Amino acid sequence: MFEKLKQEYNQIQIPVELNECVENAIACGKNKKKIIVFPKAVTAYIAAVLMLIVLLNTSPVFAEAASNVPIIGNICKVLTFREYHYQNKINVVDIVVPKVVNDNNSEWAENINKIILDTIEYQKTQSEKRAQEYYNAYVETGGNPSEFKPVKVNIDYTIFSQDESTLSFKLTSYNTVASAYFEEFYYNINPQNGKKITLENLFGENYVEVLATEVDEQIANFDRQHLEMMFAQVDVKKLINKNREFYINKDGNIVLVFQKYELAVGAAGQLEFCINKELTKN
Amino acid sequence: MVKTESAMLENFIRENQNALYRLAFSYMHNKDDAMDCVSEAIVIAFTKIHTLKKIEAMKSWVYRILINVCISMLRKRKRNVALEDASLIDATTDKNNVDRSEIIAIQTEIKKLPPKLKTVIILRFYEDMKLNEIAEVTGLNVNTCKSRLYRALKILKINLDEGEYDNV
Repeated sequence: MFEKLKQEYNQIQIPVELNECVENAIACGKNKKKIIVFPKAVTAYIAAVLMLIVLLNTSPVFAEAASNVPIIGNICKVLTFREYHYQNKINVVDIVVPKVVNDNNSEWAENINKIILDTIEYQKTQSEKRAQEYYNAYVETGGNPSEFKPVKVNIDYTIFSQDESTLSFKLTSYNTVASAYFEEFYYNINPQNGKKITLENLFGENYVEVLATEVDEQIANFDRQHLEMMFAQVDVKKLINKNREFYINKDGNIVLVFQKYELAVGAAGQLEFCINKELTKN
Repeated sequence: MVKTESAMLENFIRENQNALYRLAFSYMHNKDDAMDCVSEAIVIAFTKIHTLKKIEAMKSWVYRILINVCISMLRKRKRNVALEDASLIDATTDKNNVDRSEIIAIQTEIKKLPPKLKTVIILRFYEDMKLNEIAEVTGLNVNTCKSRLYRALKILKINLDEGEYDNV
């Protein structure tokens, strides 16, 4: 009798969304610091493009942040400035807002902080507005209010390294009503002058060649299971440019980040390649 | 790529996601809650990876997290589990045309068991775990698991009024 039960158990249908849900949870878990939030599986993506997020990465204010006279021994840190955690039947919001704190109270730090704050506030407002819209639509089309699944937004940050010469951190955003369910924004700054650190700064004008070679070599050394997941026709050189996401880890090595589907099938997830700092032009 | 504990956990989760889902589903009895539990358990596992002492114990460790998440969500929801769960009684998966009223009756009684007893039944009969594996997952000692198993079977036996379960 229990044999039949076991058979039924093994035949429990696996939903198509499970894989996506698992991948999101893995990505979330790897970045999680304190609070536990679980992104809900969504069955339909809503096309809401958050232009401001895209703007942030190419913002001239950010790129040309005011420079200060460098002072040796500048202390520069990223701290939590503000947190929002609340939940009602329409929204679940968990946001941690980072702030760059600089010994000098430099203008560039304030600029960055303002951008971070504006971005996050915008995400939060958009998410709440959308949630209200969906809730209204849901109820109008006959949905049961008590069964409405609240819209979730979760923003957090991860610090990779912070010292006199390097400040490297990222913002991670999960939003159940954005077209990009999961987004990351990497910041690499030289605290001495507030300028963005770029791959070209680090590896010279030949950086595309140098990095593509490194990445190709590392891929060639993957085990079979991972090699099989890589896309066949990818020209890594095309993926290395000034928008390539990267961070600088505690050892000063540069880690290139490729989002899901850039190099390999979704099951491979996000891919990181650690480039030894010895390759930099210093 | 560096094979860290985190990477191993990732691989384990990817490879066993279906099993994890089924386990969660056997507690929650609906798709969305089961996926929520799996998601939450995954996040917790990464957050607490440093508490995993032996890599070999990864499976039991992850299962334990998932079960705890399910049980606490059940408590939170205080759901009255529908006695007729549509997905369990999916006629299209039944290939044998067997009278399923018996199976349904047992499943219903298992659903009604308190969480601690339900856990040992699920692990023993659905996941085919031996008593010592169950002990590892639940963090209890083998004798406690044994007595819970027998207690659960006794309750099921009484409620079902059948004598078939002496040899399990």
